[in-house]
Amino acid sequence: MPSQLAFYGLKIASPAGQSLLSVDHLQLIDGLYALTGENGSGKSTLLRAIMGLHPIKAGTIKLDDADVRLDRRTFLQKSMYQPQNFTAYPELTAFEFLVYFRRLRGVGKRASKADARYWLGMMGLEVEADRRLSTFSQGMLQRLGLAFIFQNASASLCLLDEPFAGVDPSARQRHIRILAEHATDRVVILCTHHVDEAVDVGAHILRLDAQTLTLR
Amino acid sequence: MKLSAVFRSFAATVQAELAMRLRSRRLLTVIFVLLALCALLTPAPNANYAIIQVGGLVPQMGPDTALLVAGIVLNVLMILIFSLVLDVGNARDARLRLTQTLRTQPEDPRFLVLARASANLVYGAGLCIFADVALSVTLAFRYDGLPSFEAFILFLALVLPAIMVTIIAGMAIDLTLPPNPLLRTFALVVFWVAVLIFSLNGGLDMIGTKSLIKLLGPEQHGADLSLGFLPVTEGSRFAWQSLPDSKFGILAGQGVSFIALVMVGVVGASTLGGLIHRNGQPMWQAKAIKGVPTVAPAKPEPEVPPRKPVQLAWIGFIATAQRLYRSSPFAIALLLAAAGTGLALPEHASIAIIMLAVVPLLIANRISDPELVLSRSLEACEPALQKPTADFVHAVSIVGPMLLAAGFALAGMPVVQALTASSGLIALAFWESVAFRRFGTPLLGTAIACIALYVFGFNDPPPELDLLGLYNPSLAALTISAACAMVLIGLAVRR
Repeated sequence: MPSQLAFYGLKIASPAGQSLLSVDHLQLIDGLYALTGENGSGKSTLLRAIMGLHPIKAGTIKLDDADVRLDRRTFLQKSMYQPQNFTAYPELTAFEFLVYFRRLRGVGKRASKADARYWLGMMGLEVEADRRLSTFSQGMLQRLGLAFIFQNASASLCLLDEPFAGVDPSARQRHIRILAEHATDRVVILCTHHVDEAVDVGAHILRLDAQTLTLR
Repeated sequence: MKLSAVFRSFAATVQAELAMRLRSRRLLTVIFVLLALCALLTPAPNANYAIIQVGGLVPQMGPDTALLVAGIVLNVLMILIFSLVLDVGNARDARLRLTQTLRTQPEDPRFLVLARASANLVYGAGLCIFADVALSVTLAFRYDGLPSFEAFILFLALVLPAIMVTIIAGMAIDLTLPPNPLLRTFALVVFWVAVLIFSLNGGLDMIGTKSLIKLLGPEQHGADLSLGFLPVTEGSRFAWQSLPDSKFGILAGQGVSFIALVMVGVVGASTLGGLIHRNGQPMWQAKAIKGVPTVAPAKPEPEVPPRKPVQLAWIGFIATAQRLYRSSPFAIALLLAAAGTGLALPEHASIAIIMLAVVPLLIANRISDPELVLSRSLEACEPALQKPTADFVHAVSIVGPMLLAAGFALAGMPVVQALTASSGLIALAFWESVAFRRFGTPLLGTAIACIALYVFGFNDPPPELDLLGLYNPSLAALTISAACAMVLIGLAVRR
């Protein structure tokens, strides 16, 4: 059964009551979606609202059957979110960080370690796996963020907010391909300004314009 | 979530938190402070200072009694020392911008707090055992014999409950207060003072002093018990070398344990009652987000009406003070160090320093928004009033104490003493500033406590300990404090 993210009459407002954006009715099924829009159009706010980090004024969001407000725990169990400018605990190594967050979701130690090794390798960080994160550049942290997102193989929804800031072009293109490959059985929403590269790997375009979200 | 998954999640959090704490540079600072205290809290039998006096007399102690008395004094200092490391990481998560990542994990945030507090308990217990061993080894050198195993265990029974109190206090402060270092330090000091007052005057023996008085027998030696770093005069000793009753440590520990349990109940009830929001947002973060609109409506720039020169100067002063205080922990550290050190000086000078340090801080924090807008528009006209650069802050920090030295001299202090005290002040301020930048929030409180300890504890300090010459000005002290100041200024400016 494909994963499905659905918006029902969604309205998001600022805490002061000012309307920020609205989504009348929209359903997204498995695949890679590139979320685009001008600076300040509300892309990050939308992602935060999907994860329940920004209050919803009206309507709701459902992932499969889980409502973001009513079944929050189920919703979070099925979703992963990488915020803009991904950061991590500087005292931990990359490997320890991934294992910690995997185990935090109740996964066993052995499985967590195997997932962490695999995804560090996929992101080209196998050599740096045992280095402290305080020594990582922002580009390396962004790659760690991608490993952090995708190591949860059972997630139905992955949200990535500008994950390629500070990543060099060749690595960016490689990572977009990886995203597309792993978006076949889940909904992956990628907030990016590199729309062409996303379209090249078959991404759908979600355009946020004039406070309205549309699928193109 | 299944029970096994819950256990795995709990164990992972404890393990990760312990790893982070053990790798943090703060651990080195705490160990350094503990080792220094172990040396200071175990004076040799013929030392010219003591850490306990009963009825004005100093007991001649053996290794067992010395270990327990050191435990009581350590209890007094425990909250400030261990506050360095024992929080539940909310401020840290906010500083590292990891709050969102954590809030999108499915486990209950209260569970995360509990796991972090458990990690703190393990970590704190480890530090207590370290202190116990370090004190025992020091006493072995001082008294030519190790303390007994019974005394070793009694020490832990005395100190571990105090660690519990500290953990809970750290948790409460971290969950309820915004990550403002000044505010948190202030709350911590208030809590510390409250604990001391309550344990000395209240019904519970939180730090073990009352049990000690019972043990000594007031009718025998008098109930006038003093703890701290106290000067010793010739012929003021009495014999007291036996191991205290084994009930002593337990009695003292019971009092603290009771308080710890009450605090667990209060904090637990507050937590369940909404201190942490359902989505894992601590109260202070929720308020902050609520108060800040995501997209702020554009505000028209206010027109600046014509002002008289005095008004303009006043607004300029306020704007500069506000920028200094709000942008620089360095300046705050300097002023607090000035206030702390000033207490050691003659009364009129100390009042002047406190006024100099505290009053602008109060004024800057009381500025309301309209005035802020006004001063901002004024700053737009005058670049010098904009956010000060690091060089400007350093310049102020150096010139400030120089002016203080001049003030001391004018207040009647000998010139050498004024210069030495000012150099010592610069050294202390820069140490605090550098350390604060390096280690984060709670060190400021500990540094202030160390100054207070230094100022109040050594009423008649051994000359060799007065390295910065705050009491006994000399050419050597002036050289040392000036050298310290120069090195620290160099470090601060280079960074």
